[in-house]
Amino acid sequence: MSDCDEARELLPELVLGVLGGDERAAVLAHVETCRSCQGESEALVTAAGALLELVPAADPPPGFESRLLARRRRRAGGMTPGRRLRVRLAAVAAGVVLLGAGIGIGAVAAGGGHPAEAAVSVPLVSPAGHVGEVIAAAGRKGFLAMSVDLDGRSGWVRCVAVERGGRHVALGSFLLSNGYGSWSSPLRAAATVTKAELLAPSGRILATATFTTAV
Amino acid sequence: MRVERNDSDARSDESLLAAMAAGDEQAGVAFVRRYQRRVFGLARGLLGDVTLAEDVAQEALLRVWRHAPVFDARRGSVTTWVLTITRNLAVDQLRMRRSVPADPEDLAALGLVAEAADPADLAAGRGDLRNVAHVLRALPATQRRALLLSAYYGLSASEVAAREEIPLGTAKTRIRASMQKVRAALVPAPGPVFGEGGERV
Repeated sequence: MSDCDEARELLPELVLGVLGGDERAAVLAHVETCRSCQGESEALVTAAGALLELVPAADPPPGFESRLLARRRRRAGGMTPGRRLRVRLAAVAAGVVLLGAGIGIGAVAAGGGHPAEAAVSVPLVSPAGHVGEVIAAAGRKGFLAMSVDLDGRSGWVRCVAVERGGRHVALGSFLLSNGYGSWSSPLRAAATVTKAELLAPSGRILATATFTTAV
Repeated sequence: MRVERNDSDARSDESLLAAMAAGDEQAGVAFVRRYQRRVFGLARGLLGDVTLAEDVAQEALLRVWRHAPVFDARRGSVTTWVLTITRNLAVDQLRMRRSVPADPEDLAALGLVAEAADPADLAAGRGDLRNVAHVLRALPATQRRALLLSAYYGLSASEVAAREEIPLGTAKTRIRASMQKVRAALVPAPGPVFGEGGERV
């Protein structure tokens, strides 16, 4: 997309994180090289942020802070500095730029890395709520990293990537200890990956991570 | 830039993030205290359910904490970053539960009450938020609905089109037009640039 006018029309959707697939890739590719569109994106990011700020603040339930800190301590127990470093190294080795909050407002990379190689970070969710995080990137050096906090469940679990169209790509079996585990593995997918699943040995789905932008 | 001084820490948001990135746990606690009301407020406004809102708010703050090293000031304010993470996590929950937002026409559902912006905002001189609230109220209802559906609930243009039973192009136009009005109220577009000969560059 070399035409500024075309890109500009889609900037609001891009900044709101609701632009998908080919349109998103094309607009990002243009914005990367266009100072004018970068400026407009920044202004739209400010606008989107202001909209979110309009929603009134509210006191969380009592004990919110201590529960948060407890959650953090539990996670830190599983994701040791060694594991965390390995996940980051995997991301660096794959030559990707971690966009942090995944997709959405502010995700327009200011000149850092080709958008097609950017990694996305999404939550891993079970019926009980958040149980971890998945970081993934596609491409030649594609990888998928997962960190899990499954509340006391130990033993083997399997990880699969699911392509649009339903094909499952096995990523391997991993061991949870006291409910914690983290790993990364190469991701060789023939088609767009829409989600990652964590499975019990029986095949039962324990948790799912959905990529709201195609990986 | 708004700085909520409910906490006793005098450092800027960016300084706290830098300290958190360097492993300073107390900076993280200060950051949580500074942002928890806004993060929880947004989560509750979007989800309605207090328990779910607490889960999302905690996840958002933990994610911010974890990603503190990645924050890039060039991409926008810390507040926008934090609230965006919150909104995205809330949207994930809504999608998982296939929850259609109640009635996005009803601004009160999101707590976007007409006159009363948060008194703390008014006191802090947040004229920008007053302007945005005014723009929202002044939008044609169709544009406002499209904006709420996409900006708050993360619906794509095609999802808005399906829900509103309008063509995709119309949905895109409504999202674009409403966002441009909000943007114009905050960051006026640069005027034309004139060259030395008086010609428009």
